[in-house]
Amino acid sequence: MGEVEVKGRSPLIVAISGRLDSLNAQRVKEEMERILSESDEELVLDFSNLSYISSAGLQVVLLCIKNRQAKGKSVKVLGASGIVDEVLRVSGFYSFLEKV
Amino acid sequence: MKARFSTKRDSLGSALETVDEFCKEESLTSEDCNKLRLVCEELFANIFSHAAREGTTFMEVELLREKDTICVNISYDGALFDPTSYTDERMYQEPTERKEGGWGIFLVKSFADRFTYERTGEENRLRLELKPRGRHKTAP
Repeated sequence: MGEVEVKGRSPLIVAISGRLDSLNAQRVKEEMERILSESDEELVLDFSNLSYISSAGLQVVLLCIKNRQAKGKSVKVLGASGIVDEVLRVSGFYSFLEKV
Repeated sequence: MKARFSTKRDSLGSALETVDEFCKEESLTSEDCNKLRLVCEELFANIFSHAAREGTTFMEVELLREKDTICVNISYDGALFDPTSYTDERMYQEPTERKEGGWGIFLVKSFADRFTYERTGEENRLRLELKPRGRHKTAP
């Protein structure tokens, strides 16, 4: 659960699949920090196979946004659906994330 | 379905497994199950982290279906805290200006159809109600 996979380098495409919750957010956050430290590219978060996200998962997304903002780059979200899409929407994240 | 958990660090996973088990027993759709899991996770995580630091030692959870409503009754000991009347000031900040989240209780209020609190003796008692395919509010 909460598997992280780099699917492209330019732009940097990272797929997170399964559930992103309180049980795995810290591990995923550390993986994302490592991945982001190796790239200055625009980031695309591929949530096509992410079935669930909680506020702990939002912290991971927030980390990604702040990291890319510091480099003057944007973050896009690909394939968010169901509760993942709803949570991102109600929490106001689509003000900062382009949905593609 | 009723279960009691100590507020030890690894109890959160067990508590969420109870929710997953209830979803399976009640044959809930993945959409309804995800909403139920979300509101439960946010409250459980709050109790196991913040409340536990204030002296909470246990949490008891009851999950049941009453006609067309899914109900969650949560009780726990420790300091008085009413999440139903709590507004996190961070919700009025831009997400990128926040050091950390503040979305937990907000998500509960957004996704639950009814969310009530009462203090009984030395215990906090929360009740959540979800109508399958219920509507939710949007962010301020």
